[in-house]
Amino acid sequence: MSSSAAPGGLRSVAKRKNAADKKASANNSAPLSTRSAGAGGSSATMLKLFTDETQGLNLDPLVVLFLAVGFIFSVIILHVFAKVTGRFTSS
Amino acid sequence: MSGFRLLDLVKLFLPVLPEIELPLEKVSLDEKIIYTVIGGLVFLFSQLPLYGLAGDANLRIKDPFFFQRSIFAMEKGTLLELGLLPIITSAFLWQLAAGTRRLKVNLALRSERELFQAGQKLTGLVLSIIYALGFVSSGYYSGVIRDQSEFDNVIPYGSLFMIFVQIVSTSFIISLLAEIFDKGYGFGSGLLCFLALQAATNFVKDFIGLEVIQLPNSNKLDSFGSFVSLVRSVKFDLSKLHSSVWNSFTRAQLPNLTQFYISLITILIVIGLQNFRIEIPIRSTKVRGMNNIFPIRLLYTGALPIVFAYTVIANIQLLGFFSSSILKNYYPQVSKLVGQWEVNANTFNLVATSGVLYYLSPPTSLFGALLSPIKTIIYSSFVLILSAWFANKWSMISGSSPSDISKQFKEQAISITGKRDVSIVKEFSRIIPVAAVSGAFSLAVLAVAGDLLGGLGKGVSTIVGLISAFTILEEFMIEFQQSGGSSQFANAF
Repeated sequence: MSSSAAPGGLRSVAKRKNAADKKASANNSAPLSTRSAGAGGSSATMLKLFTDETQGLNLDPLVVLFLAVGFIFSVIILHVFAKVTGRFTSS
Repeated sequence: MSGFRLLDLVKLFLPVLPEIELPLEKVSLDEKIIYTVIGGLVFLFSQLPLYGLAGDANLRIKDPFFFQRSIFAMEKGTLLELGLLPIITSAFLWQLAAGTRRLKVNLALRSERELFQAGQKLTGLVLSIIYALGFVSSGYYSGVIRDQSEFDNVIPYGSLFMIFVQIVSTSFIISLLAEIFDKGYGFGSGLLCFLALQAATNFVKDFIGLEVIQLPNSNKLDSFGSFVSLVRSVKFDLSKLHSSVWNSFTRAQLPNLTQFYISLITILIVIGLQNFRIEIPIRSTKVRGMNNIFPIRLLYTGALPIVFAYTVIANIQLLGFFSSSILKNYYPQVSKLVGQWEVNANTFNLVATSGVLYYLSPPTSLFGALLSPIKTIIYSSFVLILSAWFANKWSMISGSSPSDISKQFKEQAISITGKRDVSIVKEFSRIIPVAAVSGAFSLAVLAVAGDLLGGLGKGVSTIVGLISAFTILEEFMIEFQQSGGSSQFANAF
């Protein structure tokens, strides 16, 4: 193999720079999803929304469950009141 | 990053948005089971009738969204009037925007991820407010408000406001419940758990629901479940036998046996499809003789492409209906272009008869599908194309893309047998997008076939529910095996 170009030189510098640029851009490009950032979140088959903890108003899950049950019960009580008052007024 | 970003807007709301704490230590299997069960129960309880509606409102509401209710758990006349639609929509919006780089966000930074997540929650809330406003202002509830007849001219602002508050707060509570699941207290993701739960309970209720209901616009009583209705109506009178059997297969007011069989066949086909996979032989690069297989499923993206396609359709339907009802008074022509509806006297469903939305709604029976071929073709291809497009995109952005997997392989010192490290990405990108798209496409064909046969969304909800259940079961089994029999529940059984 007798190539006329000397080893090294401008061309291989350019090549090396291209390869290095490519590698750097592959490493630096921001992840496309929270999972590829390594923080959980949606996977291929699972749609998740909330996986990080923010500095906002933090609640215990039990509190939320109680709130939810409380909300549902308040609606039930409204229904019951409506039934009772309806019976007294309209009949 | 200069200029204005959408995320900066979210920052304003960050301190007031409630947020579930991450578990301090690993949640045990038993705790997870309990949280999952209680979360599911609360979700089911929220199918309570709205306060402010008349008692038989869910039979008399003129319903333009009847064909998408079972997919998104949108129960007519109940607290779950919006179901999971706002949450699912906002999740898809944000995650696709980030994945396609429409949104400037660097998810590698924790602070950005927090904003991203808060943004999803906020969008869900805003969407539910918009949709709830649409419901109360479009005349959807007219005629079914309590203590008010259809002919009263007074607008019942008080009742409508109560309904609005109930719908929005339920939607917000459901999003918090989903967050409990997502943060690792329950199995899988909240949305998929709820979808699976909804599909399962509806399937049973539609088949053997014992409730007896006064049919709208008639003096007949009929049972809710299709099977119960069949059993009830069979009398030992051979001359009437075939008409009663025919009725339980074709009745349109309540679930019928046709829908049941569509769901049943769908279940069988989905279980079949679930098992299709390509097994790629892998080996350890460190230890000689450690060989294993890495499976790539045909349903690489699960049920998400179907969910996405129907989410798009549902959002268009909702927004279209609301805007058409608003435009009716000002620009009747535009409103007609968007859509026109006609009440079906038997079912009290509002069936789209013309306009854009007509072409994006499924036919109500096979006969209807054959009668309007253009609509059938447009509707089917819309679903097929959307789900295939989404599957391709999602397999690249969801963190299980070929490059992500090859990165994992490198970290764990695994390689494909007979391939060099460098060509792992190439090998996977040859398989994964094809698997994802063809899997999504076959599911979409199944969903559309169910719709065309008159499944009214039951087939779709079965697909979504079943695959979600499989996904959750998978996670449960992994947890169960890792817990090493320390679970009290496992010992009890």
